Amino acid sequence: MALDVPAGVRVWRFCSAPPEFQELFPVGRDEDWVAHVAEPELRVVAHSLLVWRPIHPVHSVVLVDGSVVYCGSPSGAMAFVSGLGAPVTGTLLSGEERRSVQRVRLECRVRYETHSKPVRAGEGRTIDMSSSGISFTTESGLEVSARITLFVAWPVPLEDDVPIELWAIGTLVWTKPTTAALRLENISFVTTGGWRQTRPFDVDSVQ
Amino acid sequence: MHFGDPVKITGGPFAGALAEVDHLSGNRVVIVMELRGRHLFVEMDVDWVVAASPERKLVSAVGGSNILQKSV
Repeated sequence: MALDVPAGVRVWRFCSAPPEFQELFPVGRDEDWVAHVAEPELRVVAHSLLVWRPIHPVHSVVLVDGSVVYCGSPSGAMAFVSGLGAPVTGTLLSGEERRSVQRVRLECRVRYETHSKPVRAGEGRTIDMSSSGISFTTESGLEVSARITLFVAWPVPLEDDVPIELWAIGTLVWTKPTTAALRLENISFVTTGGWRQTRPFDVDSVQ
Repeated sequence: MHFGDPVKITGGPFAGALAEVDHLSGNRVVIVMELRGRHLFVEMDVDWVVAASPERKLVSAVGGSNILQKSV
C-alpha cells in the first residue's frame, strides 16, 4: 500500500520484504530484517545499519539507482559469540529438547517475563545458547509451552561500548524447578542505557 | 497511534530508538527519528513500534552523534 509521503528509509522483516529485495539475499531467513535506503539518505543512515556488524551479519547490495538494500541477520549473532564459550557436548537428559544446531555454554544475565497473565517475571543467567534456542536459570518453575520474552544482556557491546540486549520471544520447550529452555521465534537486538532499565515496554504488546 | 505520538522501535535495525509517529497506512507506519543530527522518515511494520511514555522525547538512534539517548 502506497503511503502519502514516501520515506527515504523503509524496513521490513525479511519474510514481508518485496520479493525483488528478498531475491538479493538467497540465505535470508524470516526473522532477518531488510532495509532499503534511498541514495540521498545513505550518508546519514548507512552507518547506523552497518554498526551491527560486530554483533551479527549485515549484507548490502547497491541498486542501479544508487540506493542500497541491506539485510541484517540477528540469528547469526550466536555464531559471532561462539568463541566466547565452550561448545556443549555430551548426552542430554531425557525430556530435554535436542537442538540440531551447535550450542555454546555462555553465561549472560537475563530477565524474563511470561506473556500470559498473571505475568511471571524474574531474573537468571543463560546456561547455553544456539541460533534456535536458549536455556537459562529461573527463580522458580515456569510452565512448559508458556510464551515468554527473554531479555539477554549481550556479551558483546556495540562500538563505543554501547550495551545491547537480545530480546528473544518464544515458547518454553522444557522446564525444571530452576531452569528452562526457550525455542526462539523472534529476536531483536536493542540498544540499552543500562541493565536496570526494566520493562522497556509492555511485553504483551510485542508480537 | 496518531501523529506526534512518541513510540519506541522494537524490531529491525533501529530497535531501541525512540521516535514519533508521522502517519499510518494499513499495517505500515512512517515514524520520524533523529539520526546523526537529522530528522529522518522511516517506514516500517506497525508492530515494530510500541507506544512510549509521554515524557520520552525524540532521541537519536544508534549510530547517531550521541548513541545512548534514552530520556527517562
